[in-house]
Amino acid sequence: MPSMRIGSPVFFNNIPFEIEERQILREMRIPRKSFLKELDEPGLANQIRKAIDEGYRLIRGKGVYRTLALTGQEDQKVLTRESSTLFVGEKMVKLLRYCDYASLLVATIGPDLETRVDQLAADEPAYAFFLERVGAWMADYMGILVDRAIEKEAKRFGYGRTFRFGVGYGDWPLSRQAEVMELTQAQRIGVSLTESFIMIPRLSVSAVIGWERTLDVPDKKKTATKKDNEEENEDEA
Amino acid sequence: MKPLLERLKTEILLLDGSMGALLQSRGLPAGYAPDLWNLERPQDIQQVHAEYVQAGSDIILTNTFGSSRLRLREYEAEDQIRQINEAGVEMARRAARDKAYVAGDIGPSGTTIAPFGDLPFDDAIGIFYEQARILLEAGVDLIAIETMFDIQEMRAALIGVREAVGSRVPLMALMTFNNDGITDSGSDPETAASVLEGFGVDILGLNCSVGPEAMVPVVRRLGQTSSTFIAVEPNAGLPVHRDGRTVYPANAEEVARFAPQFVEAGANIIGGCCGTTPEYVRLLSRMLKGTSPISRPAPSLMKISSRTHMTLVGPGVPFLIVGEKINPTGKKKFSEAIAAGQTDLIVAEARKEMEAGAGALDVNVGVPLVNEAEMMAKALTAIQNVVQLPIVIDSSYASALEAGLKVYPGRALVNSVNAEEERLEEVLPIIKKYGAAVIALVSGDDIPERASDRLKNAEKILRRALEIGLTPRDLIFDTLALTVSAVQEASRQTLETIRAIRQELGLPTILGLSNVSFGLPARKLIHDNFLAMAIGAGLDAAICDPYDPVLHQTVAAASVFAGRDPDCRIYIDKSAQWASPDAKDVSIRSTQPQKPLTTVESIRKAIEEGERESISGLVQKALAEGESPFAIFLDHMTPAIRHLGDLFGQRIKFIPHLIAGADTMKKGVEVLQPYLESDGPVEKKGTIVFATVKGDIHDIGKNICILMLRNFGFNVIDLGRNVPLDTILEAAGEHKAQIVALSALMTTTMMQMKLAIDTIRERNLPYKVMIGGAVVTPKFSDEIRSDGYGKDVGAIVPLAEQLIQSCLEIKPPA
Repeated sequence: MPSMRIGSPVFFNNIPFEIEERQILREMRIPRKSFLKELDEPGLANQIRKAIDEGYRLIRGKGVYRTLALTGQEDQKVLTRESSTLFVGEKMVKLLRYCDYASLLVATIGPDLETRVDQLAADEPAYAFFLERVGAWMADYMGILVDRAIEKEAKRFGYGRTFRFGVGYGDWPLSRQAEVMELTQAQRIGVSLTESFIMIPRLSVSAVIGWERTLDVPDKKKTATKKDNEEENEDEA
Repeated sequence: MKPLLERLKTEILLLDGSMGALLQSRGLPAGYAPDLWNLERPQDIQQVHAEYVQAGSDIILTNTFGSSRLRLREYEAEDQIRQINEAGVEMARRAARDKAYVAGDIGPSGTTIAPFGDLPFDDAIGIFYEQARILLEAGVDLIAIETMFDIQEMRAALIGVREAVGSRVPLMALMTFNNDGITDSGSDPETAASVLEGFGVDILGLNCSVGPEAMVPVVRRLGQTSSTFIAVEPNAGLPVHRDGRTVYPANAEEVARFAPQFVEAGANIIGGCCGTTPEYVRLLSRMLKGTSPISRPAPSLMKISSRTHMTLVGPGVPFLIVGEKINPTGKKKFSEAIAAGQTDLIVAEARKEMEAGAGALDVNVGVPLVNEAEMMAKALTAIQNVVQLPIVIDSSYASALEAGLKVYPGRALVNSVNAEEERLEEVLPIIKKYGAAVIALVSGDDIPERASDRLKNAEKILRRALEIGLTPRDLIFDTLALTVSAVQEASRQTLETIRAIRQELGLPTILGLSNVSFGLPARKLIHDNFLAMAIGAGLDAAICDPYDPVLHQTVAAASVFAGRDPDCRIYIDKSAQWASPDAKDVSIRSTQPQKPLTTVESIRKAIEEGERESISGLVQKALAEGESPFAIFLDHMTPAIRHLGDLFGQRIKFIPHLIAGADTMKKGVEVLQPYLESDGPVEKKGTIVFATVKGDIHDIGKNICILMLRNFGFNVIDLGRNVPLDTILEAAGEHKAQIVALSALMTTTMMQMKLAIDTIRERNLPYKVMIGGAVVTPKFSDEIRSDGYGKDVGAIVPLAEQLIQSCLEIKPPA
């Protein structure tokens, strides 16, 4: 049986990746196109292609997640042994109300692409934009890969997952970012914070995913339950 | 008892089921380590084992799944590692008596392994070594490594366990596949099998994570790719969490009914994982006792693999093109990058070779005075992040080969060994240890002239490889392509050697192709023709230039004659690609205008299509043709960018089009600038001070807006990002700005915009304030009473023009 990794951070270095043209075109808000060769403007296609090629050289994907056991709820807070100030806000309480655990995640593409964008910003703003969009999608991509690892682990122990809730979204204050960084030891993947709680590298993502007791969630219960009155076996988590 | 591996030739054997389910029913608290009960509640452990033996299990797993040092550390029990493992074996042995084999169970380390994860590879090896050694000394009949999600961790476990137990007990290695038939680290069944076979495991297979239905196709794929014994342990379905417990929904009958399908797919050992019970094993026993396994043909081809893809090498399968370009020889920039420890060029070359159609990549980072071992590890780590082709690790140094093999999470091909004693002794043990394959050069102290002598060297290498425990499928022979201009007979002998190795040894061959043409003109012609002849003689792979399109055509055509392309399908597919316009680069298409355009029309088109590379030349040409600089700017460039803006408004073109167009126009204006200013500075439309507000470090959107505004004749003072309000106001005063433009991307920083507007109003300053950024909304803009809100880069120019117009309608302050 697999082991549940509660409490200690799980790190991913050198995350393998692919930069899909379809996703980059989507990130750039160009609709109805899946491949660069479908663009009618070869100059634009070449610029984006160049940015993708450079992305392969500059991106170093890293990530970390840490799963915390949820111990209770108080007013507008969800409590863990590690913190009573991390999971705050009405939306957070709603997100985690059917959860026994919550995983914090941080992912990044590393500093190199961002440094290159900054170097290009003054003289080549258009190309810097294309490269930055490649980096923006890939930061999300790294977050998605860590997200999937969390989802798989939750699934192995019979849990569903909530949606990914980013720090600073809704009523979860961006100032909670400091605790997220500390609890995940995000400095070990090279992510730190500015005074205004912006992650450095900027092309990084941070979020929480709840481990949900699917059978307790009213609108998910039907799909999660196989058959009523069925004989079941138990196993330890 | 009869040896396990003997019985597996004729019998289906049964494993046990879940330990946790039964311990929980005996009071094991959720979250408590079951392994600790080996010392605390040994009788319960023994009783669970006894229940499985009584139900019909032929093999039982010790209760030591989490008894490695790293896992026990989580429970502060690492100091008891020996006692816990020994007690686990003792309880299993007492229950098994002479009725079942005791498998020493080893689970994952609980963390991620380098280079993908955090735990250094050598540390991981040490952790598995320690536990396997204790289990062996405690008297297990075999070792079972199970529930491995990551092929790299499995590699570390196999190395550690092999070092600990040698060949004294059989080795079973089980990976965990998801519902899609892929492991967490992306390996499919064929890839996983190739890696496990490389380590010479006795039993391979899968357990945990999914129910039996999803496992049947994986077992079938393993059975088709491997002749190694196969074990399978399904969960009792996918778990759900109910009333504080993990519950597996399938009952014993539902899981057991898949047993015949497992046997038919090729399984030799069947058991259960999470949620399965003695009742399930009892049902299996009734269904399968006395059943014989199906026979599976022994595979004859060499397999190499990356983390995610396996490639077959040998007769009857596609010819393997190994890209030769990651090699610093004769490449100054490449060598300098390696010397500086940089991997950028290596990664770029790897991507390029893959896109050019290479099937594997030779990686050589040998530069004088460079720590080649360190650089090899670095290069392979970087390459495998972005390319999933099998790798050929190429070095003269055993230390570099070993460093590469440590970080490579697949079955690599090593380049190379030869018949020299010293090299054999140095390289073959490394190949064995890391489960790799190796290129064997048919040279010894010298290069034999005659094919018969080269064959003798091949036979010697094969003999030595077999003695050390390698198999014939671990070897591919390089028959040595010598320079034809120097020794013409040598090339004929090379072809003879290819034939001899195939006929006499039945083994594959490879050539480093480029050597053959040294010193001759039109070298590609020479080695492409030699390649065709070699494929005709039976060559299976070549290390060569994947950028040569004729080489690909030669391989495709020769493969048709060499029995590598049934029904010529590959040839037909590829020939269609050679003829397709889609195969051509977009930049080539772009240089073929559909109808002749005048130069100024071409300028307009270049801006509309973002053709930044051609605009400077076009503007210069137009000037040379006598066009007025002002006319070029006002009558052609400006309408082009406005037209693009109109198309943006109609959602025909999008932000990247606008940006590429603006960037192209900027390049063109740079050419015009000296001419436009020859009669004095050109009057600007207005002055804008532009900044990303204090606390915010995002400025890519701001930079693009500035590009657009400057193209339209605005004087824009770019203050950068994270700019304090005082600095903004100071600059606005100094430059006599009409507009202050502010950008923010964070909800936490956008209130700086309100502060700026309030301050400007309080001080009665004459600036219009326009705002924008991802988090800014029209509502927010209204609330803080800004003068204008720019939704995106498409809106920025009309907004600025409108604000300047309104400034002109107001009398400036005295």
